[in-house]
Amino acid sequence: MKYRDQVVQVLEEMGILIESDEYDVNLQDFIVDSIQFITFIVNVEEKLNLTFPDEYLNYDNIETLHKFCEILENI
Amino acid sequence: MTKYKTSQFNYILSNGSDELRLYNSLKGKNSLLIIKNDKIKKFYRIQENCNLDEWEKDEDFLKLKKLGYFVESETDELMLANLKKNDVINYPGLVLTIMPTEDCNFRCQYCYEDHKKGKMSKKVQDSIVKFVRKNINNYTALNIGWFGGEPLEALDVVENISRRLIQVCKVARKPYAAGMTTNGYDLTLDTFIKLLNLKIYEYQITIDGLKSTHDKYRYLKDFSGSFDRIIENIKEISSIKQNRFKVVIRTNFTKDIINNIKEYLEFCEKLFGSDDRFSLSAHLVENWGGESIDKLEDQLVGGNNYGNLIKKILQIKPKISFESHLIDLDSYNAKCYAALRNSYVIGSDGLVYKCTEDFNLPENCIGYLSDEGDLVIDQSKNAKWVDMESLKEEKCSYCVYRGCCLDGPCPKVKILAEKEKGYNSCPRTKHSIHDIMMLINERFYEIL
Repeated sequence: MKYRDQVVQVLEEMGILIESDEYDVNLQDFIVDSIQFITFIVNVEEKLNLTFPDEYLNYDNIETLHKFCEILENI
Repeated sequence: MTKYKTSQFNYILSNGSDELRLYNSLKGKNSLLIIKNDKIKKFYRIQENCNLDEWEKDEDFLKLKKLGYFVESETDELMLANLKKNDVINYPGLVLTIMPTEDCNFRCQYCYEDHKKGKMSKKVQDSIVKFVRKNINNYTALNIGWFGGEPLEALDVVENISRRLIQVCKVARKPYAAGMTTNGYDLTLDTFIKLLNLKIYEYQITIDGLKSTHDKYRYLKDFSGSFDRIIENIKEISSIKQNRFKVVIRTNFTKDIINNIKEYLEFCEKLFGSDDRFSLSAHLVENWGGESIDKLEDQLVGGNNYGNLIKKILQIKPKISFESHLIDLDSYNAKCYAALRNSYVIGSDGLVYKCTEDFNLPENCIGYLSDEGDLVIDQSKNAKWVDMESLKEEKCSYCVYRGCCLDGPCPKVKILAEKEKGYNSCPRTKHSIHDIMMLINERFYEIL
């Protein structure tokens, strides 16, 4: 998955550990409110040097790490 | 000019003519003070009238005030005790006592556990890590206590969970601390070094007197003695130069051990006497539950004799540290972990308890840890352990130890008190504070 490593790095910088042997994880367990969600999106944008389109700014899109990385690839 | 009064939580112990020992139960262990020689008279003068002009800028008075022995006359100390109780109970760190196995290689005569549940499954280990990872940001720190059964019987579980939780805390930038209660039999130097690398720095190992008594009370499954190997392990551990760890040697005294107390304390002096990393913690064997205790009935001394035990130790004056008894003077430790809102005991099968004693007490099991890492608990059951208000009695308002006890340090006592009317809610240490003050080595006191 193209962006997985960078997203895991962003999560670590936010204090959230994704263990190396974990295939997928529910990000909503860690990103629990709107401020955390926006912080996460902004940090991902800075790390990947891209702009996350407004129509994707939906909390459901971080249901899993896998799903979120797929969305990133489609932007 | 500010008016002052004497604190209602002061203990003042006269030890002969040349020394006064002071302790303030609200301020806790940091208040410990020794007043020597000519300063004693001055202290009594201050106590007689603490509002004289001459004290206002007096250094000794300012120190006594700082340590809590004199407070402003308007101060409501009972309200301060209530505030402190809230702080203690709502400690913002997460406290997990984990049982990596509930089996044990020992069959101690007074043990209350039935050892029926074995080692923790991989699934439960994963659940613990998931739970901490999801919730660590709601807490200021993570404190892990390894318990059992015998935790070293499941060393691989301890290693797996420790490594992962240390990493979770590192990423979340939260402090991590761990301790272990072990019988010491498998605590070889290699294992000990491995555990230090897993940030397990505090240990409690039980030795019940000399070989003859220890092997009678604390034997292996096959009934063979454990004393020689534990002592060998302790000797090896003490040979390393690391200064980061602390070992509490716990002794559960019976009549037999008390009969040989002088020889036993001399043995302890030789084993770790001058090593400040080790300290002795004196307890009495009691009926902690289970069936095997019945065989020991004629050896039990009775909880009311705790003060006499400490007095016996004081008569012998062993040159060993009793640092571990500082917890009796400090609410932040004296208050049992079961009374803390954010403290949970995780059984090897994922069941969640509040207390590490009496697992069959229905009130003790408050829920379970789900496969997804969610703590599914009955908050009303949790509240029973945390809310000590119903234990408070009229006499507590006037009690000098209340600043430390904070309306009862043991919530299990409260629950039993509700079930069995007339249960004594006062901690036994309350009646032995003067003896404990003498037991605590001088280096833990400030000197005036």
